[in-house]
Amino acid sequence: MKTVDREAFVKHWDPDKWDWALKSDKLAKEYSNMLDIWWDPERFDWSLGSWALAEYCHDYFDIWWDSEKFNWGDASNFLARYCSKHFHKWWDPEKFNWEAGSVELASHCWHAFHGWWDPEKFNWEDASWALALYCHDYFEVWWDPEKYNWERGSAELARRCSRYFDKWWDPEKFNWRAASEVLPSFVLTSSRSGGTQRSITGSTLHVT
Amino acid sequence: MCSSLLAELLPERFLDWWDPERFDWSTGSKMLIKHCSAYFERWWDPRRFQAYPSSIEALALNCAEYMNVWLPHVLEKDSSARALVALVMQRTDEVKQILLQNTLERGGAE
Repeated sequence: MKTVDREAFVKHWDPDKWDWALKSDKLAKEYSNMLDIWWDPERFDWSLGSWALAEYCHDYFDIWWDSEKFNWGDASNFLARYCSKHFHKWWDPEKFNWEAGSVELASHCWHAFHGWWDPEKFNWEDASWALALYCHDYFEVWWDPEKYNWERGSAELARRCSRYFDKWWDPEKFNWRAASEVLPSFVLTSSRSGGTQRSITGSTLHVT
Repeated sequence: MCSSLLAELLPERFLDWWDPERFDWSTGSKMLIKHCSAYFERWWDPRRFQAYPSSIEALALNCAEYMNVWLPHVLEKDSSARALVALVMQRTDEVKQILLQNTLERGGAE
């Protein structure tokens, strides 16, 4: 966020001169604390900047949120990650991108587990481990040995679900030889965020 | 790594999960020794044991009462351990002297 005082921003801000098509995300990223000044839902390029609204303007969620305009395809994961405290305002299981955002649902919206859990929509392949790691209190609700990805999630079962050992233990399925302690990686990508690709590996955010 | 986690986090369920054929000895030996020493007689297998310095140290610290079982195999497999043990054996009196001195310095408390 840039340190520009409001007075200066108001003085120089001209919505007609701003390149909304190319720089909507920049507004959200660098001037989030001036959102009440520059916000214009009709001019804002939602396909470009939805991810930045979710990440940088979550404190102003009630001002900008629009379920119809939000870019669910590219920014569902950002919504789940950064706007989890507003979960019940934005949640829509039909619009949410389950493939890209299941990890964030489990890791950041575990408190609303019963609100979003759907075993048919959840991305078991990529996000099983996150269920074991973050949603272990609901183990008996989500556990499905056939859908669970044992290859990537055995360590998390041992780490966080030991009290349910009798329910999940299966020597045939357990991955005895998983090689790395690094949590499975996943990628958050905003396809039109000015060429910036954001990836998260484990709990570390890398911007390339 | 997951074998190691079983040994570290679920030692009380050892008898339920133990499978010497599936256990990853290369990554799990140390945790097995450290956390499952109570089941030493169940898991000890000189053919599978990986005689790394850290594993040998863990054996000495956690499975000392079974030294007569594991020491011959360790000496057979690891030359540096063999040299270390030989040195200690040669200097037994010296080691005893150091231990005695330490005990006296602590006021005779064992």
